[in-house]
Amino acid sequence: MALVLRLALWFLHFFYSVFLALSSIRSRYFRTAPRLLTATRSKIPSHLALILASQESDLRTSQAQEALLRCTEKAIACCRAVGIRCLSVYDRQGILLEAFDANRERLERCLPTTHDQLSPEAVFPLTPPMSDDSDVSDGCHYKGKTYIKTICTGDAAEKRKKWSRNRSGIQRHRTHGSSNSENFTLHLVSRDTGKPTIAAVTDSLLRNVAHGLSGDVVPADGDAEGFSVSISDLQAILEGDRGYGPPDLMIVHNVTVPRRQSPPLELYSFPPWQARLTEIYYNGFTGFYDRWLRAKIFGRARTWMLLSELDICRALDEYSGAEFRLGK
Amino acid sequence: MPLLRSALWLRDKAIDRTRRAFLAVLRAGPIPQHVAFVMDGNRRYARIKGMKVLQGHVDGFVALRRVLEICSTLDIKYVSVYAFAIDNFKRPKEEVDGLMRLAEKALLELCTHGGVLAEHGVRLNTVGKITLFPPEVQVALAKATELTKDNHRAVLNLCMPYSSRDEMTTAVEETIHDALLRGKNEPITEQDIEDHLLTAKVNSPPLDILIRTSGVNRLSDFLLWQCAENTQVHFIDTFWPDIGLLDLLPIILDYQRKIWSY
Repeated sequence: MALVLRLALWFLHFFYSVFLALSSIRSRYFRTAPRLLTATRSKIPSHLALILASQESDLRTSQAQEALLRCTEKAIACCRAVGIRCLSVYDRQGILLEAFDANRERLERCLPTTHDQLSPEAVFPLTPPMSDDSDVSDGCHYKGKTYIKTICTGDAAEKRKKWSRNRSGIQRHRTHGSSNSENFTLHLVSRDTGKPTIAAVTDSLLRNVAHGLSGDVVPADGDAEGFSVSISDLQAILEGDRGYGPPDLMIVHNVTVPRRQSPPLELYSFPPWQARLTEIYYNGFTGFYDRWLRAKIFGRARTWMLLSELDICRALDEYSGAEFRLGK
Repeated sequence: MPLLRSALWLRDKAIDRTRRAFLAVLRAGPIPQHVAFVMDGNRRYARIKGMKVLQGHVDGFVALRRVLEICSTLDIKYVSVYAFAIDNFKRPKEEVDGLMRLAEKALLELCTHGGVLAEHGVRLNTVGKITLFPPEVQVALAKATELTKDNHRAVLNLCMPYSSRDEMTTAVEETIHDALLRGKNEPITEQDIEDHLLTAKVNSPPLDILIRTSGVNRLSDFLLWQCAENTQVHFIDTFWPDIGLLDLLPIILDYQRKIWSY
């Protein structure tokens, strides 16, 4: 009987694979075309996140880095064309973060510049502990790493500069000052921006309490166990000026050919705190050309699927049709 | 008329047999340990069918029973459902009061003799800030938990009223308190925080699958920490009261494909 059931299951999976293959063809060739990138939509996200996903365990190769950079460049260009002011690019292993120094100028070339505009200001995270400045946040004090690299232009750069003005150890890169530039913020994010950052914040809060440094937060009678932290406290730290704000829309894009056709959506350790209300777009189908030709010739792990304008258009179309009820 | 009744009886029998056959076939492969559901779409379902909103929630409860039976037959050990969000208290008072009355009634129905939890040996855990509920609902929850505490075949985590950010914040706070009590000097790790999450306190394993119904493509503050890694997330168009085996079939098949591809 067990053998019969296993055989039946094998057939079920066979028919399911055929169904997925047909769905992939339908998705690629027979789906209604999305609206143009610059078409008018009822709403566009102010912050778009792009997850560059891969099922391969190690992408630390120059080809991988190049593929991720090209996806980033494409995403920046599309965001600027649509009017999206903030873009996060996430890769689980932090390849873009590691490559940031060597490729900063390449990324800066994609960002808005005008004749008399602030050149992009790269702001690097602090390493703990830096100073006794207490103007980081209004609630619990956090002085540690936030594992994020950010480039801002225009007014976004001015805002970012404000919190960094009093800090030591910040590297700033600017040519000459002016305003009236196109606002744009690029975040490079990795797994460390999520759960490890929450752990680091918790550790920092613990040490503050243990050393009685948290001021108002520790009750007057000195009972450290009376310490409490609220959602708004954590929000101020994790999403504040030093942190990483929640994206409105997230596109999950496979940069390598998945092991099987149309794997379901996964979040690849994207920062959980920030994903609370993020609209998620995912198209797991891999085209025949990529899966059966390029992957067979070059190998699955070396077949790069670059982000296309089509994917971004579909994501924006879905986002503009989404309804947010916020519990009501 | 007897002929029609016989035909309908045969049709229902055939459907039931087919459903059991599919479930038996699926059980021949890997089955997820922990599946979570965001039970979304009761109100839109009711509006489309021209019903009152509360009737949509009643049909949603029937769907919950149906899904629990399917999960139990498949031998899925842990099921978590997003029954009520902390933000849902913002809904109109009439709807919230109706939901509280429904919750009281539904809990007892699930757990007493003949109810689906009793029938399938499912233990009930309540995951959330229960103190926000009216006293009657808190009593019903406590009673339901007590009635099922000796059930060992499976576990149902009823997340109500729940918010993932609230859960993470409480976990951070409790991690700090714990470290202070123990005089811990080592740096706090992700695992320390994970051990203080509400799902860890009820010994739930890592989340394998998260399913949200009604076509909404968001997590909406549900199990954010738990589904960030190695969890397959499915957004399906079906409204929650309409969910059935045909919706879950491709999801289970996808899970099996993932396990076999390792």
